[in-house]
Amino acid sequence: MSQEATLTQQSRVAVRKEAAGQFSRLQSAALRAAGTVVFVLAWEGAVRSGIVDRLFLAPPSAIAETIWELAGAGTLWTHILETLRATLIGFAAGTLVGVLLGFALGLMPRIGALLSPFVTTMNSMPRIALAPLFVLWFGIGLTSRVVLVFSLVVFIVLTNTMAGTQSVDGDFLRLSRLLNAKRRDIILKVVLPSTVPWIFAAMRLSFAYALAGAVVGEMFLGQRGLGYLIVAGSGVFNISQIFAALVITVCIAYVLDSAAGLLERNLLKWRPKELAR
Amino acid sequence: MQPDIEQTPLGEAVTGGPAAIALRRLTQTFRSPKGESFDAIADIDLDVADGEFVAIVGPSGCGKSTLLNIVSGILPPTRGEVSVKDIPVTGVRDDIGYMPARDLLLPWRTVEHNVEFPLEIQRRLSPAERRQRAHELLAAVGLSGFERYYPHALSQGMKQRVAIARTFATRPDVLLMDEPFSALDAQTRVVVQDLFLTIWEAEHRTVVLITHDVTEAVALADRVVVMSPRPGTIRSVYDIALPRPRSVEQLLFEEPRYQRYLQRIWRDLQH
Ligand SMILES: Nc1ncnc2c1ncn2[C@@H]1O[C@H](COP(=O)(O)OP(=O)(O)OP(=O)(O)O)[C@@H](O)[C@H]1O
Ligand SMILES: [Mg+2]
Repeated sequence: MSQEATLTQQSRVAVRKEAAGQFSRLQSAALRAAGTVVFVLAWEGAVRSGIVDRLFLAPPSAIAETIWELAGAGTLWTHILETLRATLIGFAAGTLVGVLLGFALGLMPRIGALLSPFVTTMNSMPRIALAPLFVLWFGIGLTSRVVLVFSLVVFIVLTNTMAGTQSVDGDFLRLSRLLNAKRRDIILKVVLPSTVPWIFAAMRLSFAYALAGAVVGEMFLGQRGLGYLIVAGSGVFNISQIFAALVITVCIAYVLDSAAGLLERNLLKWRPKELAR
Repeated sequence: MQPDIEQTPLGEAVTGGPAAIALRRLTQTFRSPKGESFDAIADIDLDVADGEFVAIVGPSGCGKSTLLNIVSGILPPTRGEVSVKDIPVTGVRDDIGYMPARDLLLPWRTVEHNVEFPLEIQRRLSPAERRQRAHELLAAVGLSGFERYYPHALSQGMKQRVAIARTFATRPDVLLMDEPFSALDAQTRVVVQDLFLTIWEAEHRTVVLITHDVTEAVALADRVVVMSPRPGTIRSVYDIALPRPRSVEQLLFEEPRYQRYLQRIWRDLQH
């Protein structure tokens, strides 16, 4: 009886909290939209009134027009797909290898000790600067760009996964040992789940690098892609084409990051709301 | 007519029958950071009868947790012998259960999955039977309706009740508890203690409970063992002749003998 009372009370509180959460989400969405509109209008105004030179900054209207033209000519999709291809292949491979190596290094201290100097060195190296080397090794095709993206992603994911495996609450491990758990069970049922948030954080962080890597790669060595649009635009002083490519890049990053956030919230719904961002 | 307070001969089980736990001249030597070795516990002899509830009290650092770790099989003693159910303890065993002070619920598992965790680890029962056992135990600790909650949405008292359910899930013959209720506020503690007593009276496992709280020791146990400061030895043992089934709440306010036990043991702890 009293049990039921507490339960309904609790769920009611939960429902109220939920409603409050949705309200504030709506509010913040409205605020974001308003902020964007003001920013775009100010930008447009600054360029039109001549405060900023058209040679250096394209007004939003011109950028939109360029995007429209590129889309109409049918080339826009080719460029976007080219960038997405290198980004996603490199990102997926980097994440997979990073997670596997991260677990191996984190769970096998000897291998970890052996490889950690190498990992630290690679991680502190500006890998974008390796792009010319990759061209030398892999040619100017897709492979070079995928390798560049991979090299950016893999070490971020690796170091985070490794840190995650080592940050498992020691008392959880003690409890498992007191239950006579096999090493395999401890890894699968305790270490792996507590490392998942670390892997997610690393994936979201490294995705931004992956996209940047793909675009920069195309600037060096592409005939297609958003990076190519930027270089081609700057070659002929087509400022609005540069900005069009940048805007599209940002949009891709935003859409994919939002999707990742949604997925993360669903997979990690065991975390307290204050932590799930 | 029995005397009010009985101090039994050191370490001997009062309830006859086979000893569920037998400790013989148990000694644990540790090394301090400076490299000197010292005895955390020295020459402990103790028998706990089958189905008996023993509480151990003693000053901080006297080796209570060390003793429990040895019995659990996770810490091999420097000297001496431990056997549980007449089998020497040489490592962690499935028939010995352990409940720590922290609830240690896995945050990514729902309440029911947390209770099933030990059964999964020990490959016992089918998934459906595990689920059923978990639900029975959760009902016993008053948490029906919370099976699908994640731990972060529970109060501390509820978490500790889930931890109790998890501890009983494997039906261990011997239950070792290291200050299991210490994280709770005074009011919640009494509720959870009573709940634990109810389950214990139904399942009747052998229990060794460590606590800082003399009121808890007297209210719950059949015998209270008082340990001396480091190196921990057994100073005295008290037989608690309070009737069962007990209610902690009633004892606190209505039982004069309870108060006298408290005084005696409290004084014993002071010197
Ligand atoms: N692994 C260890 N290595 C070295 N010394 C240890 C180790 N474990 C415990 N000790 C020491 O043994 C002594 C007893 O520790 P123990 O944890 O058993 O005390 P306790 O009675 O449980 O104390 P409390 O009531 O505060 O929990 C302490 O002095 C502690 O520093
Ligand atoms: Mg202790």
